[in-house]
Amino acid sequence: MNKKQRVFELVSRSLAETVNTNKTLVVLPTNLYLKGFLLESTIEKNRYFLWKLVMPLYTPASFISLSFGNRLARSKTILIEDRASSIKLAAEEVLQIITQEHALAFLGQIDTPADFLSHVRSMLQNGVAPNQLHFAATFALLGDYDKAREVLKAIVPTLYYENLRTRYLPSIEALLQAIEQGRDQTLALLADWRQVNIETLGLQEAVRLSATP
Amino acid sequence: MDIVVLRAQLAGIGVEIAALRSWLLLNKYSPDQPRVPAGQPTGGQWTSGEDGDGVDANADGSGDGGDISSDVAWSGDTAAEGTAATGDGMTPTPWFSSTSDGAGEVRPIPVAKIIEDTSPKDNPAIVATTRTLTSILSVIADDAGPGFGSTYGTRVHKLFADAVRLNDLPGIGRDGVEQSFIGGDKADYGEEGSIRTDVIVRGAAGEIIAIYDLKTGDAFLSPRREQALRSESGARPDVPVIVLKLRWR
Repeated sequence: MNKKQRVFELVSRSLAETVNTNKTLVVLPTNLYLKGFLLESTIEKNRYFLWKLVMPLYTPASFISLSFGNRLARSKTILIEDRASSIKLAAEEVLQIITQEHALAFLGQIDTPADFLSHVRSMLQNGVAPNQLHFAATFALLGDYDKAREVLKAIVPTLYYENLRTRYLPSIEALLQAIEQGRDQTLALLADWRQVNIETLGLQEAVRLSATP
Repeated sequence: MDIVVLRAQLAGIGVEIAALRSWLLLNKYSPDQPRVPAGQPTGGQWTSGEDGDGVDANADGSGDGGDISSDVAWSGDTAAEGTAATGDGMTPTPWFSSTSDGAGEVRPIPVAKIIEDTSPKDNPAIVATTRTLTSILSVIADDAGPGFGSTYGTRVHKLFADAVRLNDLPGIGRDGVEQSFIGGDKADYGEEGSIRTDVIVRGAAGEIIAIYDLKTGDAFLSPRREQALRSESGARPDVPVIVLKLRWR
């Protein structure tokens, strides 16, 4: 375990509804959304931002997106040095911040697509491609295929750069095609994407624990 | 070092920066106003500016091609300032000018230049933000003191980031500082393929309207990096990438 994982490991022992995974302290249950916390490096050695994050799992992802998250503690940084006493202090600080900001209760409220849309409603007009792809997939999940199609088609002209076209165009086309084929194909595609993400992001344990009655 | 001591020191830094913020707001700080150089007994204090260095923007031979929005004129010793101001673009400029305190001791006098490149003038929000960030950088220059190299660059970036965050500026907030991206998605710093912005400014709908890149010393923003800042952050092609440059000479 690296020092960030060791901090989260200590924190998870105090928070029953969490599990420590590869990069994130995941707030259970993990169904359609990854919810949790992440320690991000700063330009200052041994100092980290603490993020609270929500991420849809039903669109393709190769890394943990922070787009629907925010830094906690007003972006105050946390000192984590590679020794036991520092790890313990950092864990106490993380726990204190999570508690003070009621972050667990907040994340616990997000479980369904409707919850997610409510969480991101202020960002719905944000034209950045990955956000809009998440929104389109969410509309599709809710059965609003017209809205999903409209959002997907609006993304294409915003793919100004080759890296954006390479990253998002295949997913946009695949989802549009699935929508044309019907509900079952759409749900199957979103389920496939979720399954791949769970493996890519190392969330198997969180999903297993979430399925346990 | 004991963690309590460290925390106390950090708290002290926070208080200092918070006080600085208040001061900036109350005094409508102008980066053009001359100051006594760091390292002197009255270092950082304002002067009349009558002894300002008057260095020509294009006399440094840097080839930046940028506009000088502010010269922080580190006043105090006319002769030394004159030394710094004699650069004609052909003569190598030393890192420091020198002065005597009257007791025969020669001390360096830093001269900081803050240069904005590619700063658009048709958007009042961006103009105001650029001016504010330049002001903050001016103060940071004094706090960091003179230096060069990557360690110095990191120190200036850290001080600048802390100060901008504490100011919680419109469109920037605290999350608009030191933000990494991949393909328009916010990402963890160091994630493969990610790029980190120094400061981003967002419009009402959350769209990026300006990207600021801080450079120290002779570092410059390459066209490739400029393009990557836009493409990975998901900013439109017409979003300006504005260079804030701090150089001691």
